[in-house]
Amino acid sequence: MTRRLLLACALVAVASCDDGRRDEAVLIALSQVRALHHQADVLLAAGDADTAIAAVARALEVPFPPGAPEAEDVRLDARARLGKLYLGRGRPADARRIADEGIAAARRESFFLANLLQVSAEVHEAEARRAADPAAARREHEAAILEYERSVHIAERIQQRLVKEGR
Amino acid sequence: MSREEDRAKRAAELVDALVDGRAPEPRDAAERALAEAAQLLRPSGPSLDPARRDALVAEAFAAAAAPRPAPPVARRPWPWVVAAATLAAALILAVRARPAPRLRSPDEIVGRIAPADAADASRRIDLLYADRLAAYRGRL
Repeated sequence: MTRRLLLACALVAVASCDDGRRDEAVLIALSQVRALHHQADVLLAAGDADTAIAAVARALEVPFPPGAPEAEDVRLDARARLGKLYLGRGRPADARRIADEGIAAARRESFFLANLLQVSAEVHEAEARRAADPAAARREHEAAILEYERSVHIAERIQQRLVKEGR
Repeated sequence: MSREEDRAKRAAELVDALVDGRAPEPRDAAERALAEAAQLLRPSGPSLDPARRDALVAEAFAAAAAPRPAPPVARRPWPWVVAAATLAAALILAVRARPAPRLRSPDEIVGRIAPADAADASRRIDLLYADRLAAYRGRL
């Protein structure tokens, strides 16, 4: 009886500690990503876009606890920012790669995915403008329209779901 | 034959003699007391001397009224450990049973992202971090 009781206490205590440690690990990861974004802000303000890009790219490598739902959203957001930075630096191929990787890795719909799809559409527009071949430009335009539509539909579905759930 | 069986056999012989109307022949004081008790309980048998009968009844009442030692209780090992562990478990379960505040999803926190804010990840990570920090502090 005593042994069972002590075992039950120990299990409950261990479970509580695990939850606490997981919360702390998520907070640490979020604080690291946050610091890198703010570092990028300072670098951009100073005109150092390339180092800012490197700082945001490091945000993609910050480890989160397994299964933390924040990880996917934070990384999608970092990719959206990177895509915009690459576009600003005239590097649409890098912007395309970073957007495609993020869209392919997304496991669920979110405002963050919708945002990255918007950035992806902007990349298609930029590629259309740069295309020397009219047919290629048309394809990029069509791809941009599809990405915008997909982004809008995802955002609307999430909005409706949140309203329905009263959030 | 064991001693117990021998005594049981002698008691049976005494009772048989009493039932048959013969005079029991006890070997010692214990057998005599047994024969007398059986004789007392059997009104049809040969009657006891009234003084001896009263003495037997008084002896029986005295034995019944005498305080008996309490039966031994199995001693519990470390009863304070059981009590302390029970209290600790109750406290932990009470704390754990409190409904934890529901964490808002990142979508709820940041809302729909306008195209003009596509690259404003700094503001969104600030919001998310502040929400998770507040939730963490609320759990402490």
